[in-house]
Amino acid sequence: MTTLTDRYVWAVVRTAPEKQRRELDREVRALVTDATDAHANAGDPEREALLELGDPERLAATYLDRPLALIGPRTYLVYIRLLKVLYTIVLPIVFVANLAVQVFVAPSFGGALGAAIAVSVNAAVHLGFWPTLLFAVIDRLPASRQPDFGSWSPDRLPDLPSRPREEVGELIGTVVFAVLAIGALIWQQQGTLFRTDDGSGIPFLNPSLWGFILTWSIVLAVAWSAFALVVYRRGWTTTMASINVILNLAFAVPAIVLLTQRTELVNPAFADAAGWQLDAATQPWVVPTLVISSVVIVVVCGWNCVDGFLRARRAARATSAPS
Amino acid sequence: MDRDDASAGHLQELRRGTVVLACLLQLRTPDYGYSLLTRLDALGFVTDANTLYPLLRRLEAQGHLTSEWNTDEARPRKFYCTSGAGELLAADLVEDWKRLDASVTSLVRGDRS
Repeated sequence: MTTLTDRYVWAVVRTAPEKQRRELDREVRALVTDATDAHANAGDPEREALLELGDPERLAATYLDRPLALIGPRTYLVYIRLLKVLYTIVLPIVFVANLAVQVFVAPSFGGALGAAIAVSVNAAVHLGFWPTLLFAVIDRLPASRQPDFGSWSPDRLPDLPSRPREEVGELIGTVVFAVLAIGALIWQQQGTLFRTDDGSGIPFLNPSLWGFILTWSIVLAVAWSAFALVVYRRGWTTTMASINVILNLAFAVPAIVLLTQRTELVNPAFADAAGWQLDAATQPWVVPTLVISSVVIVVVCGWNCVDGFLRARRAARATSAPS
Repeated sequence: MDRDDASAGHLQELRRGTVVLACLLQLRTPDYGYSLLTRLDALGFVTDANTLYPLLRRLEAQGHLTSEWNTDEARPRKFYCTSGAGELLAADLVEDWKRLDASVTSLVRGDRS
């Protein structure tokens, strides 16, 4: 017949290395019987004794000097830093890269988004699991075989944030907008809204302009993002404000030319499929719409140029003020 | 005693290291685990089995205690005894204890004057 004591002793020793088991078995057994004797006055001395000794795995861990944490304080900070990098940088890259590929492969944008999300969820699980496993193993290596993560020194102190948070927001906003704009462009080219009878999609923009618009947009998106990054790092100067003007012109001039000179900006096949009448000669709203769009572009870009110079002046004042 | 959790924590912290010293001194007469636990308890060193037994094993592994299974009685028991190295360690700890006591005493006095 097995007693509670037998089961308790077994629960303690079963994870111990074979060599230590006999000794540990004897010791824990003596411990339990002594504790049982001490509780002789209780209703169930054995039970009381085991309650006092507590969880057998905890007792085993303290006996065998095993850590009671998956990742201990020695490696915890390195582990957390790694996870932060993986989840804030690697995971978004995985998502965007998958989305970019899926947009060309998947039959619809929704399908592409779904596939990219599925891959990202999968990646998130792996990005969490493998580093955790690795660090749990590292944490259990003997001290002499621990990898050297480099000791901390004051040189590693982060700089005080030199730019207010809004500027971080502007940088992120610009990059996100650039990515979304390119995504929207590629999406409309897939023609998921309307399809011809043979099932191929009808793009929204005129296919004859596609090569130019795509190249132009990608160049602009990259240039704007790079510019936003430089502005974020160095701040506004008169030079940056001038480059800002050039970038605005690079967007506004072709955009307005496309709007005013080429009335076939919208794919005629798309207009047919959607049932739109876009003939400027017969539709009185077409020309005013194009004009208003052009004016909006001029005003927005114009203000953006002026704003660049205003910021440059403010930044110059801020740096000269303390001296 | 009516103490809040924070002071109870500090008190426990203060006493933690003294258990080692108490063991080394107490085990100059060989004793087995559970008996030691109750004797320390009676002396006011509050510890539990989960802390004391691993501590005894660690002290033994470091050579500060020796152990022997006593099979004379009805039940075999592991008796621990302070070794020569353990005596030296105990002397060092007692020395430090006295220094600390002197320091605390002077601090208390300084506080009152």
